[in-house]
Amino acid sequence: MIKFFFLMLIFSGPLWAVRKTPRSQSGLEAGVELRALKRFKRYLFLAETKNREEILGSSYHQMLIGSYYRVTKRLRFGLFLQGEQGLRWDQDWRKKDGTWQWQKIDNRWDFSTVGDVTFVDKLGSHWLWEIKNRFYYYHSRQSLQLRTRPGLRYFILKDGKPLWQIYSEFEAYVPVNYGTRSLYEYWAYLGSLYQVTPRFAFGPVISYRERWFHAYSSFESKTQQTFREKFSSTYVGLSAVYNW
Amino acid sequence: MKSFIGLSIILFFSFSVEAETYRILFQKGAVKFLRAGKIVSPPAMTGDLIKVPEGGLVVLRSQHQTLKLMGDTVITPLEDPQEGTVIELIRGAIVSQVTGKYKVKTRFTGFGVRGTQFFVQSNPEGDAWMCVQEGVVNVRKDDQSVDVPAGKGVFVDSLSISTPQFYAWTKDINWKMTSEEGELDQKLHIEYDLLENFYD
Repeated sequence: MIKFFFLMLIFSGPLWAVRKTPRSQSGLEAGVELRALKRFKRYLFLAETKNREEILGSSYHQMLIGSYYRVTKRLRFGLFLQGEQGLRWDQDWRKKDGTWQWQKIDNRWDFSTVGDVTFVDKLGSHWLWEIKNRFYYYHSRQSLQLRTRPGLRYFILKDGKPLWQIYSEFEAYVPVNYGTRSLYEYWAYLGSLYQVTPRFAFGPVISYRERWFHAYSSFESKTQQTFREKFSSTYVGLSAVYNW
Repeated sequence: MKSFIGLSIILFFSFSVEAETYRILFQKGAVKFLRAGKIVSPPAMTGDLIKVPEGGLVVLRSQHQTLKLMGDTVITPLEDPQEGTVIELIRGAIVSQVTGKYKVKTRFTGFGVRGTQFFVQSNPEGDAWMCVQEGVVNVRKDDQSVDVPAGKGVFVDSLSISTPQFYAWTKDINWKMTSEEGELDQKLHIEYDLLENFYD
């Protein structure tokens, strides 16, 4: 009998423990992305906004402004300032009112300085390939993140000018001075842009996105638990670009 | 005294603007010359509208210029006291071999030279492709000004002038200006420079 209770204690132990870790999530996200680009000599000024409804009922808003400098036709450097609302970090899994839960993040701003190195070149007469590397320094968290994005574009031309384009990109988020893993998030994009006028293009974009949230040290020391949960989502959106 | 000097300057420039006469060196197809809306016989004069039909070609020579107008091209040659000969390229392609002040104007752009040989093609939307064979061509659009040396070309649209560079399509430009040199026509497949497109 004693042996039976001992075995019960061993195998049912985890059922008694309160789960303090988040769960993996998946779902659909939708949004709009707008970009305005102004060329002036070797400078290419950029203003951008991204807005989307994300899983867990939160919304994300981003604004970025700054300029590229075209060192050569194919190579450009950029410096930008970015503000984001709705950015979710590991530390947003917190105890509130006695319960571990995701904090409301919709109205919190995260500001960052963004350094960009982009190389683009032709692959034949209808193709462009590109590699974009961006360093994001989040000031309030002193966190440095590298986002690297290789991409490929195919152009349907009319009278030698772009009419339609289809593009595919892959973007990886790599934490440089924080976290314990080498990849925190990635996006795989497939989109199209229709050239409505020489200055304005718009079209749909669909993306698959995965991101991971990990236990941070103070969580582990408080709870004696750990986690590595995945949020996966399909994003459907509209993208518009204005050049002048 | 001041008014006398001013009048002298005006008179000097007025007399220096001479109408050019363009005689035909070579013609293929039914090229039309219109003066005040009426079809006239060659030679063409400054101010005439010159229309080359699709598949046609004409080589015109004036005192300072030899112009080869490719098929489906419409131009009007004008004279300007400051700019010299100004060719309004309404559409199509033109190879120019010139001495003296000369400019080709498209809808958005002016290509100005002093003695050179260059090629300009423009579409009805005003986009223009230009390539220089000899000398230097100055390209002006709004407040932008770019000098294009021999061997290089630019693409100009309603937004900007591209960086002067070698374009593969320029290898097929036929620079011959007289039928004695050989075939004058050309088949060009001009392409937009995709690297001048930005979507981020």
